[in-house]
Amino acid sequence: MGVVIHVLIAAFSIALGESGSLLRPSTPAVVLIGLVWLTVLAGGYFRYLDVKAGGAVMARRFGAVHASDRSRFDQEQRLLNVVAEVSIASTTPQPEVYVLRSETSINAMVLGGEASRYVVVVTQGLLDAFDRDQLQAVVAHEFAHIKNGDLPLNMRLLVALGGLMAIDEVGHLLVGENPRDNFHPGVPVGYLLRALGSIGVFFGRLIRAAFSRQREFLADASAVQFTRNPFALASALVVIRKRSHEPALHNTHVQELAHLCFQSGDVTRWYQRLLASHPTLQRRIDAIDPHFSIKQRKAENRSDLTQAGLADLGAPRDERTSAGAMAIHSGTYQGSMVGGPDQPLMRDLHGTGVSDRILLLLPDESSCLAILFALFVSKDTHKRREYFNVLTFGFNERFTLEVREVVRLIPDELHKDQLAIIEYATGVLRDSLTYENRQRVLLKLERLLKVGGDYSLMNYATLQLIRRRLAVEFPVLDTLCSQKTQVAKARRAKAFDVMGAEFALLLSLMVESSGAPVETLDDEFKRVLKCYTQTHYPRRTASETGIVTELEAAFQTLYMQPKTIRQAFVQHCIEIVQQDNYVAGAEQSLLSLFAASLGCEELAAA
Amino acid sequence: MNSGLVTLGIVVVIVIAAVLIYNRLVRLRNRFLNGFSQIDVQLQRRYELIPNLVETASAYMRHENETLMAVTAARNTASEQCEKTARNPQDKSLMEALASAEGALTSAMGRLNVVMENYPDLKADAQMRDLHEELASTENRVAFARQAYSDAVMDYNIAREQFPAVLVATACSFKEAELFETEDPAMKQSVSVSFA
Repeated sequence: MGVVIHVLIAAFSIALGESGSLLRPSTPAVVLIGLVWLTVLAGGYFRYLDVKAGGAVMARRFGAVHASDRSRFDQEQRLLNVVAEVSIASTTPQPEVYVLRSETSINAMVLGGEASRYVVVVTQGLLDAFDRDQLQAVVAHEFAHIKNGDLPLNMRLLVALGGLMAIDEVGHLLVGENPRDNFHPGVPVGYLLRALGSIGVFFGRLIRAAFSRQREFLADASAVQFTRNPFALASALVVIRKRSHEPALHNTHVQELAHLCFQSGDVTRWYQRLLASHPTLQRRIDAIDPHFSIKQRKAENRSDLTQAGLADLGAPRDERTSAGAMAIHSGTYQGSMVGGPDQPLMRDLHGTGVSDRILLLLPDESSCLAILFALFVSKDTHKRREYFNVLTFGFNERFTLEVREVVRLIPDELHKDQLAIIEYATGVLRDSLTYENRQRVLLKLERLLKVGGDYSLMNYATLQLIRRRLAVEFPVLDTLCSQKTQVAKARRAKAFDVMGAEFALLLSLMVESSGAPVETLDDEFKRVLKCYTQTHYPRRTASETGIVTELEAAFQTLYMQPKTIRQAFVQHCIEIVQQDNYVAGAEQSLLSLFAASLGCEELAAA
Repeated sequence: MNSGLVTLGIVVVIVIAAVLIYNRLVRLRNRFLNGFSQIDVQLQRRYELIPNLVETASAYMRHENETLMAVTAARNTASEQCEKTARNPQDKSLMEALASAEGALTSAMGRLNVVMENYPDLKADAQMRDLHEELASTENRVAFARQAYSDAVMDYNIAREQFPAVLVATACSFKEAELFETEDPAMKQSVSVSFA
């Protein structure tokens, strides 16, 4: 950093016409360099004084007050009790407790740089929103930060960043409010300082965020170790996720302390994720308990039942209650399903994507397996009978019945929510089946489709998606293995043209799925092909024999490309799909599956 | 001359290793003893809260004298046992006796809670609510203190039984530490003080 400052300022002074060289800059430049260093050190020093004074001083500066044990504040009394409990569980000395009484968002943090001077700060919103167990889980998370020694390092990072921010602030002062009206020699210097400060702060944040994300996972794990109650922590995170439209903290002073907080809200873009101090809530929940959403569902059902039982004063539970509850569930479900063509191409792929109704159908591994097989059941009665025959032959009677049952119960959802179902079911299977068994499942599926004569493009793409999600390797084709030179050539390819044949193949299938009249398909294909390449390729159709094998090879060739090329490919597909301002259902699923099979889900989601 | 130096060196190394092991064992032993004193502190807190609870409850439930007496009796037994054990936490039989006395108290408290469900006035009492929060918190603290104690005992026992520490441990009579556990699984359930 020092060298960068030196070189930049020296170069700047030369550019302004001062005499001197990079190594021996002119006197004003030297003065400026000294000034910058002074600012950094002073900024860092002030922050250091803050940190040294202990967390209590910082907390008070942010407007937090000491938690009261008077009975009027029974929430705070509870908080104090919980802190005392957790400090026993973690064998940590008891810290002071502060409350941000005017803060309505849910958050908590721990401040302080030295042992015995830590303070735990929680927001009023957290006290309002969480029950005792959840509060305990959050406090345990904060204690985990203390216990794992995150604070000294965090505080050092804070000091360093404080110094860098000071540069930016001094630059801001020099530039002033109206730099155009009131130009003076300080203005360009101010801009330079601001640029330097911003670059420094940016990289500082990047490092801090990467460090912080790992520590958050660790703190979650330790919190569970202290309380032995993973459910409470996961449910606390779910509550926060439900209120994700709120900022993680309203208090602007505390924003800079985001990495010390319990949560920092969710961000979606990759560049935001790079700077995020916390992993996404879903990833944290998954890390605590991958099956949390089902368990919560079950627990809620149970409490519903007990409440219904209480309402009836012990009378035998009325069938209508559960039927009514079911109707409400399916009602909300129907409501959420209605959406125009402008709804995002892919819904949230994680737990929330699968509706509650489907979740109820998926309590264990065998039902998850059944739903995967049910995805390939055709609407055509003849093909369907064939499929079930082969299924009974390959598996047993019972499994076939299970698959039939799934198809009977949710015929529509199977197609509409295909992606979410795959995501969920494979998530369960990936954790519970061994690698060999997953491979076997995929082989069976593949053979089933080939024997059943229903190896269509859509089914193929779905299968590839399941394969990727189950983390089973592509079986590398013999042709590709024997022709190593070809693979090498494909890998070296930097442009689209090299993969024109593969691209044209996928493209023609995509055009075909768009649902346009058969006569116009050829013209349409030529039109979109012209958009990116001059070479001519014949249009292919999904009904050709052997097309799937070719497609397999095409996917493999594409999959071996660097991610940027794959992304560009998917980008092209999206453009083609959106060209006519109408996204057909088949087009959309095909595109999503292409994107997912090629590992670029985030593009299709945008 | 030379071989004498080598022997001396080996002896010095062995002595240093023994001292290090000894110190480690002492540290771990003190940690688990402290762990027990933590449980002790929390149990005492609970013993002090229970008479308050009984007093408040008796104002409302005059016909349940038997249950209240049972709780008081169990509390007194457990309290005595706790004092005895605190004097010598490494005694196996004392630890077991305390565990079973605690179990008896817990089940008496459970009965009291069931009876209290029938008195809505009592549940609405402000003082009772405070007591409830205090008691719930204390239950948690006891549980966590036991957790921490068990962890400390496990660390100590592992360190004690490992080679070569086991040599030092037997030579300096580091006894095996006892976990604080009740035999009866039904007694392991905590008192659920529900005022839903």
